[in-house]
Amino acid sequence: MNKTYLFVSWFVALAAMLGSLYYSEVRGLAPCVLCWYQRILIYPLVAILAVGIIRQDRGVPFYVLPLSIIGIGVALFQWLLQLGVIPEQAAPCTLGVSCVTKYVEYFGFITIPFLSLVAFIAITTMMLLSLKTSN
Amino acid sequence: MSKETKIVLGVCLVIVAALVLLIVNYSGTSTKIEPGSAMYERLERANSHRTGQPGAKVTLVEFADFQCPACAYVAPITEQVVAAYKDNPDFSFVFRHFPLPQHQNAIAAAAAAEAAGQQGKFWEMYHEIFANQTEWESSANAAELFAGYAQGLSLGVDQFKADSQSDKYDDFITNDAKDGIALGVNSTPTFFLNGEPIVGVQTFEEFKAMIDAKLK
Repeated sequence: MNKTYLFVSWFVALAAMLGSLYYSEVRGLAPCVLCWYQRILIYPLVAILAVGIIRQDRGVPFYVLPLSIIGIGVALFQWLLQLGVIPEQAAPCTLGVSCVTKYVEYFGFITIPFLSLVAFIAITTMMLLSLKTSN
Repeated sequence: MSKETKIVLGVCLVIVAALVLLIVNYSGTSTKIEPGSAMYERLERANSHRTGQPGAKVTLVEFADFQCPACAYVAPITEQVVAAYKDNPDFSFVFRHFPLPQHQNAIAAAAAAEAAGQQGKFWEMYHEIFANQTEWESSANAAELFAGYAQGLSLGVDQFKADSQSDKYDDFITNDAKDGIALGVNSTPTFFLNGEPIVGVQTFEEFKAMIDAKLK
């Protein structure tokens, strides 16, 4: 059970990393500031989870959770910004890539920050479940 | 709680507190531009749009992008400020263009304001463009909408269209933006009150307090 959680989390982190690189390097969408912070939080998880899987380390969730939980915060903030829940008019417009523009939108609601939020929540959930079941 | 945990948590707490303090108090502000310096000359140019007199005792300069929601939000506030001090010869408000590259209609909006200014109604068009921002900001037909506002202001529409859709104001707009960049502007709206940078939306009360303090 535990191993499954680790593997699935690892695949989610991998997908997030490769997906974000696809959008920036292939589709040419430059990451905004908030995207960079989310990348900083999720890219390392690919390595951390890989090592945890290989070492069969039950303590891996402790290394992953601080990053994934903060990641939920950043992704949630950007998602709410894009939805207009956090009022854009309160925030100055900065020179550079906009964190608010929906560069990509599938089915009317799936945007990049949304995907990021789902990834962080999924990883956090699986790490918590992994801790719970390993006791 | 182990000693290591206490140390780590303690350090993290201090760092977070310091970051919050720094960001809340200092983000976006560059240092004051000193009067008399070469940089100060860039705050307002002889042909900049202003209320009141050049070289007034208290000058509020705004670098703004017509397509920026925060600028539209603060526009009624700056209009309120201008109205409050309109009979005071010691106060002047100066508007400088700072169109951002991610805003597709920003330069067209700036040109529309300039074209209206050519016919003597810059500030009226400034009002219309900001007040109706949600209408034109993502429209592929912004030029027609601006022409509509011009008509509403009783401007010569043919002349307005010819002027606003030409490139005659490009240099003026670009030079405003260049001055802004040189002054350290990297977001809109950015205000300068006698050279002191103020980034982002302020309330009328906040402006009034700062202006009154300088008028003394």
